[in-house]
Amino acid sequence: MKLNYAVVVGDQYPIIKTLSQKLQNAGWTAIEVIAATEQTEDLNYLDCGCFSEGTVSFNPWYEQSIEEMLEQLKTVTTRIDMVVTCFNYYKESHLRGSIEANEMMKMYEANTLVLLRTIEIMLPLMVEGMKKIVIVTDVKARMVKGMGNGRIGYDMSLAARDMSVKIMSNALQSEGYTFQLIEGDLEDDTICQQL
Amino acid sequence: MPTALVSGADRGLGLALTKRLLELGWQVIAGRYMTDWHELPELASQYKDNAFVIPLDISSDKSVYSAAKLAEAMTDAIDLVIHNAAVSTRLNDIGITDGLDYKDMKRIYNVNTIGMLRVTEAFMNLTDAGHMKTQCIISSEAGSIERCERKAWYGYCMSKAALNMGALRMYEQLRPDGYIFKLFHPGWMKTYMSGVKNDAAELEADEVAEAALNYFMATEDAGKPLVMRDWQGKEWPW
Repeated sequence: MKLNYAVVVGDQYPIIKTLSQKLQNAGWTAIEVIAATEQTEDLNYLDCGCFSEGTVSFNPWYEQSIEEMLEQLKTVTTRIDMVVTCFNYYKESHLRGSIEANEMMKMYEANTLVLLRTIEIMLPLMVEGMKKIVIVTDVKARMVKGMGNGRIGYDMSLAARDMSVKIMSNALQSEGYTFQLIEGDLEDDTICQQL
Repeated sequence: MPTALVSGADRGLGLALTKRLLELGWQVIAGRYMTDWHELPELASQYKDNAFVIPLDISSDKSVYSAAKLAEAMTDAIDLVIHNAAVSTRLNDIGITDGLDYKDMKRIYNVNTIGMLRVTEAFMNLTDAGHMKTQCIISSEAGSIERCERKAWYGYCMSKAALNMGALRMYEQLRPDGYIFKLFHPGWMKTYMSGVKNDAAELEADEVAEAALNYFMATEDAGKPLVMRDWQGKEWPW
């Protein structure tokens, strides 16, 4: 039986773990990868408890770190069928006093650029695979009105991310890549049925 | 006399908007970024009583708040803000398999997206006191996710999609305070977005400025959900 390999990559270990387990239950071989930069590493993953053995972490802005991560992946597989990304760093930001440029940029980096960079890095390993790319996202950040105050920086970063996914899809669909945005309760087993 | 603030007034559309507002009898606070560009000071010298040029780099908190302090010394209120300043890049054609430049993407986002928030926040004391409370945002078709057919242009398109989202969230938050938002796609203009004047483009900045100001002053969208309109008045999808 041919194994299907999925890389679950994000910045929050508990979410990665949950998705990874659900994928394994659904028959996938799932590899957990944490992507964090100097800007974002304090956000989530360091204090989230022990990683599973074999969980790989890397900093997408450093070639050596990328190389090491890819080497570790290659000890499991040289072919990735699916990359599942889950980056959702949220920091409240309000007009009239709490707009901080640094936080705006941090959300852009964490939710948009790191995801884009991660996919860019994984593409060479996906050429022989199923070429599925999944973005676990927050549909409340869509262009609908009245989703509540305090979300401006976060929603802007997710709009930028949706645009990056659209451009990637435009560029890669002729090569067989599919992009899927999914949203749902991670505790719900049906999330994997969307894949 | 109504007062407007225009960011990126040095040349191109910003200069054309500043010029047209002055012709219409407005007082204009014109944000200047390029200290070595002559057109804005020349224009201001023709309207000594109504044109005020202030240094304004919307990528810098310090510059924007200094500009707001200068403006507070010039006027008690601003009626209309035109968020025009923006940058593009010569790296637009780099695709996902060509080696993307993330530092450049951050630079573009800092100007095109966060810059609009900085200016809105810093000048809010003055705009709260204005009669029109109108925030006009120069966006682009490049920010329309639904219509996007590009296979590259990551940094610029992402910055404009985020700008549109930011405008929408600001509109929701500030509308109860009486604010009006106008989101505008100016079309392909003979301006300097790529660094040199693009004479191959379709539209002159002066004609777009005329259409933009007609839209900014119009009340037909009052009370309706925010949309992005182009220079011909057509609505663009998010």
